[in-house]
Amino acid sequence: MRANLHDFRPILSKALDGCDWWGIREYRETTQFRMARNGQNAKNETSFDHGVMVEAMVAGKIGYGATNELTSDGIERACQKAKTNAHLSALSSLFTFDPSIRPKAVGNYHSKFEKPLEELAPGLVQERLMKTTKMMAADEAVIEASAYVMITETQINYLSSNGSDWSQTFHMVTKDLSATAKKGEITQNRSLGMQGRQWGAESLEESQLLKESERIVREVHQLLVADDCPTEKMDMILSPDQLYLQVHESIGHPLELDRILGDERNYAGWSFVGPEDFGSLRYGPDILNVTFDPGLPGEMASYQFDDNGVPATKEFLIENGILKNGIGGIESQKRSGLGGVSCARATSWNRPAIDRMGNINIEPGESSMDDMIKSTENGVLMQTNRSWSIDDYRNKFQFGCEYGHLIKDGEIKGVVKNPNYRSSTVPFWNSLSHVGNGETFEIWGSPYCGKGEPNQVIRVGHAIPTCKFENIEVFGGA
Amino acid sequence: MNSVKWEESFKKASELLFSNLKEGESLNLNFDGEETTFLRLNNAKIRQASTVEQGSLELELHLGQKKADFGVPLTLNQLQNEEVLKEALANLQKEVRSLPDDPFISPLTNEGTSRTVLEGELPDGESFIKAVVKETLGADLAGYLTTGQNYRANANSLGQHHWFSSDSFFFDYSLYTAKEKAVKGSYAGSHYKESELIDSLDDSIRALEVMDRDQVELKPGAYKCYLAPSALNEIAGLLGWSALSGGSYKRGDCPLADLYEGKQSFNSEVTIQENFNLGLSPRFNEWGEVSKEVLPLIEQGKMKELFVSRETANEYGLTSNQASSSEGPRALEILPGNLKREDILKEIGTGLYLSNLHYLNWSDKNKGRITGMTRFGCLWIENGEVVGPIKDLRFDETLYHIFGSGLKALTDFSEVMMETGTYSGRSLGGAKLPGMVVEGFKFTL
Repeated sequence: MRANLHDFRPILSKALDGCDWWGIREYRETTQFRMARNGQNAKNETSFDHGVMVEAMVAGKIGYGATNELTSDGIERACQKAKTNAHLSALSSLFTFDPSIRPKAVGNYHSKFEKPLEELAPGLVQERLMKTTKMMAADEAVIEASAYVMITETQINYLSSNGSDWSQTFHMVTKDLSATAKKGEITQNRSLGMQGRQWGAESLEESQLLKESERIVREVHQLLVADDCPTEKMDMILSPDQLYLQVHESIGHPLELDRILGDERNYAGWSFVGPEDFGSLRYGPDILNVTFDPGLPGEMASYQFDDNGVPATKEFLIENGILKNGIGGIESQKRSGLGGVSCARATSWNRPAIDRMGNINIEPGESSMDDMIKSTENGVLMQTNRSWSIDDYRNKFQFGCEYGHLIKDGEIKGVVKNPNYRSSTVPFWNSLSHVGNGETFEIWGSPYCGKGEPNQVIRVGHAIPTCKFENIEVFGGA
Repeated sequence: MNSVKWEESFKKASELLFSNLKEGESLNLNFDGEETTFLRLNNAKIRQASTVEQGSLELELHLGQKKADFGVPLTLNQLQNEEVLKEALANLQKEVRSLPDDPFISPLTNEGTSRTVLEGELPDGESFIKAVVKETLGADLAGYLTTGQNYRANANSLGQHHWFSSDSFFFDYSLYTAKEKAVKGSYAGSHYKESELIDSLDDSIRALEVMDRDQVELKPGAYKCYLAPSALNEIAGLLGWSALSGGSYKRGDCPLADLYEGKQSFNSEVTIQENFNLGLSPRFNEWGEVSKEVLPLIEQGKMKELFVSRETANEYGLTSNQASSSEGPRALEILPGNLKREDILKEIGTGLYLSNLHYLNWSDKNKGRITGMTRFGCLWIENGEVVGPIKDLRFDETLYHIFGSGLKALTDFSEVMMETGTYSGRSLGGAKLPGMVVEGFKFTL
């Protein structure tokens, strides 16, 4: 539909007359998913999603009504449902807000990119994926080679009764390459690791895909003949393609204010962090600095406003090892009295905004990769996540990786398969001994962070250097 | 109720699209729709109340050995639908001609027609929240009510047509003590009765009393455990992650490959099947193929069959069993055993009563090893008596131990658990599961 959100303003004004405040968030998104397997075309799926969420505040309670029928009747029905839900909330409401939780915001944001996504014609993308997987599948040990790309263009438009009028356009690409190889009874997998960023057609350069494929095949061969990762307490170096998920699960989620306030207890979980911990909890050593940074170009959750229209700025969550701020939007900040960030976001038009991670990053430190390896007497370097699990308070976790290297007496030795580790959050981060410098710093991100009732996924970014941890419980396969 | 209007929208969309196909093209359509109200609660009060009216239609266009898909919104407004659908079909017709061949395409077939309409009585928000507030006075409750109509349909240009609609609700919640110990509760169905909601809340409030006892902190190690049906449901959910998939097996990614190849076995008491008689989800898949009412997967501890979709069948020369493209369960059932409810604590003796597990994942996929956490309502039992709630533990154990060498008993009762997932839209389906006692269940942290 070509309807302009402004065209609906008279309907909204009339239907929501008498409300303290109202807003409408339009979400228009096209996603292409293309996949090749073993040199063959496998999937070409495009989805177009377009709808609106109407928010109506009545006596300090917000009700929500969502529809993808973008007609006068459809918008009118959504308005009535939003009002009904606001009145329903008044029967037993958790908190009474006021219109200050939806500040006036005006502006535009657009993802930065080198080459426009329009250069990625369906046939061209599929051809590159087929070529990539054909190269991997040509190896006699490889029993399955796959490659996929997800190209997403999202536009969010927002209007409100107090003059907000903003628009944000995001161009995102998520990709992965994978090879599974078998030798005798041993089966191993090596992949790129799901890589999501705001970027353009430069994300799918053929030469880069082929170079990564060569590495993946080489490394899966190494895994087929590698020893299992040893089971013992040892030092551990985590590369960014594993550490980003460690940050996500054991720093990002426990700092979410809606978890601390108990909203998520029935599903995603609570948090070991309490309100009293902000400003005092030593999360890690002085070298640990974690930021919420919506301004780093290329990260998946870079944006100008959150879905409540609050301008997004860089803030320290953990500074010199001490917990400073939570990941909570303006509603959670009002409810808790704690500091937060601009992070209230919804998965799409059909869900209310809740507290979400945006870009949660570790600021680069001083150590080179060489420093970290040379300082390790007995350890393992782990790359690329393949398994993750953590408790509902975000304490006890266990992660598994695809690929490991033993380190002995300051030198990298052989490859090990099935590297895993387990620990608890605060002791783990306090075992951090080295934070990698800018040369080890990489941007990673995922479109699949799940949370909320009703359930929502959201895109998150994590820009992370390689880091070293001491005396961690490491183990191998079954 | 707009069920008739949605059915009409789907029918008109099908007619419009099929009449605009070009020479050699065939088209498969899948519709998902819902009108749902969500009441999200914290501290037994409303945190967010929202209502969603949405429909989406997926077009799968075939042209010889080429295929492409396009998903678009479908609404109750025919003018909007017409504009969106015509543009989508034109895009799809252009794209499909630009793509390379797909060697494993299965041509569309006409698998017949069906129509299922499951009507119910749904709660209204006002009386529901008043009942919750009254019954949980002073209690700390978090969770959400999901209530409304769900629609699913399939049709193709060869004349196939299926329609499924259901009225259903679930109230998925947890209750907390002052010491942050919790129990999980659920009230779900298609015919809401306030008295049943109150019974569910009362049961949960009673179960919470034992959680107020002193916490027991256990060391990592192997313990005898009772997994309640709701705990087993988490493990059953993980089976949907490629463990029962024929395609995953062929791709070297099936955690139960050793079971399939006969190198491992489960306890002979274990029988696992897909059972559509549970009535929780439509029997037709995204190609309109209608599954058998009952499909045995594991019988008396031996793998009998993996899920095989038409795509996998075509690629690997197997026979399809009308599985969905994800080759996961839609209506999983594990058959019960002989352990009576009143004998559970005696059977545990000294060990753990686990009501719920959390955040499961494969820890060594090739070997069928899983990890996860204990969560709500987990208790330490000594000599058949409840001592108190435990401090949460991490487990790391193989499916071969859980369903094989470690399995001591299955309960003689089962519970039906409705799918409560609501990512992008409401999920359908569920599982019917007993409880089970496992010896030597390993905890690591």
